[in-house]
Amino acid sequence: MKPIWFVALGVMLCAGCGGAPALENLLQTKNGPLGYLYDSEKVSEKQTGTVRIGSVIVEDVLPQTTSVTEQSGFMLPLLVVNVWKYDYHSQLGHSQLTNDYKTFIKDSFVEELKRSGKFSYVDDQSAMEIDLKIKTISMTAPIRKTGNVIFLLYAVSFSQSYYAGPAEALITADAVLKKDGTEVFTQQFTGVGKTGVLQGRNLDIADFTTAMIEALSLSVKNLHENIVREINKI
Amino acid sequence: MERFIQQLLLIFPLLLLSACNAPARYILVSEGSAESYRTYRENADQRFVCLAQADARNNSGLLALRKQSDIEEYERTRTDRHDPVERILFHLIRKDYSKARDVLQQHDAIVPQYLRTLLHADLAYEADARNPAKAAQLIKQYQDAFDIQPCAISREIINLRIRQVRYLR
Repeated sequence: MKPIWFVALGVMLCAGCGGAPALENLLQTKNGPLGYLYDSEKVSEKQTGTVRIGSVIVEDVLPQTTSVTEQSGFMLPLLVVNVWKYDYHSQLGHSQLTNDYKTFIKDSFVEELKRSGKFSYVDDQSAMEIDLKIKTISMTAPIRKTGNVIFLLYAVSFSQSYYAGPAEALITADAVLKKDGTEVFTQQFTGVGKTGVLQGRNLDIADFTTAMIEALSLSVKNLHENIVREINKI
Repeated sequence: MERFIQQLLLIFPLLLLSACNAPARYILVSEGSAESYRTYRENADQRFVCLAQADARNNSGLLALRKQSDIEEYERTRTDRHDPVERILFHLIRKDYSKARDVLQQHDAIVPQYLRTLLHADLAYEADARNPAKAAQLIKQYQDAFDIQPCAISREIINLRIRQVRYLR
């Protein structure tokens, strides 16, 4: 048997391999902080009245580790032309975050209240008090792997591409605003953050971790802005 | 074969010329300029600094520097080498970040605040962006610069900077 056939057989066996666990390992190599630009319109002249935060409860809404699960896929071993396509779903784990997400959610909410809230933010005694409870963070972060191997008699062609994204994070929270002990509103708020698609042969799939962190950051920003906008309606 | 080599020899200087005349990394744009910075954007690494109208008027020569050849031409005809703001910006455009940092430190009080905070953040980025531990600090520096920028396009420009901090490897 000619050596080329050993190579061909090897490539055929390995084609499309390195699935979910390999992707998971790659995504776990990258980490970064949650963070965003506060670019909402600043309210410099505050109205009469103050607001404080009663409580911010963030349940364990993010898993510890980043994971990848295979959703669907196929491989067609047609000897001369071998084609494969796999779809994965990834989920960001908090071990990829270099800052504590619970602290970040609380601190950034305070910052947003100070910045765009029409009432002055105070730490202690206040007429208005807001309680926030983060209930869920869900993430849609698809990765698609496609590839092919073509065997000719003395040549082998191999091609594999990844398409990752868009990473989309959805955060859900309950907010209760009280004024002088009386409930003003109890409402569920959501925040959405979305980033673009990463694709190409030279794609470093670990960058998708950064995209998921960015999407989560933007969803937190969107959530806070939505809550502050509602408070400003009072 | 000879013909192929001849053609290659003809193309080679053109390729060399285009490689030498790379787009500038830092491009200055002016507040209220009719053209968006997007007009000048040639690659993802480019960074834009938007000057207030008065600073743009004082440094109008720097606004036109888009390519390496423009920078060389400007350097040949440069007259005012004593204005600290012009010196800092020119060092920045030439990618001479250590000199830009030195002049900025010497003349910190003269440089307008909006520009000073942005330049401090940009120079910190050039020094530390590859250190993931510095990412949160860099985002904070850009946040500090954001609120005092005179240009409407600063929102996009600084958001782009933050994305560059995130994705740089």
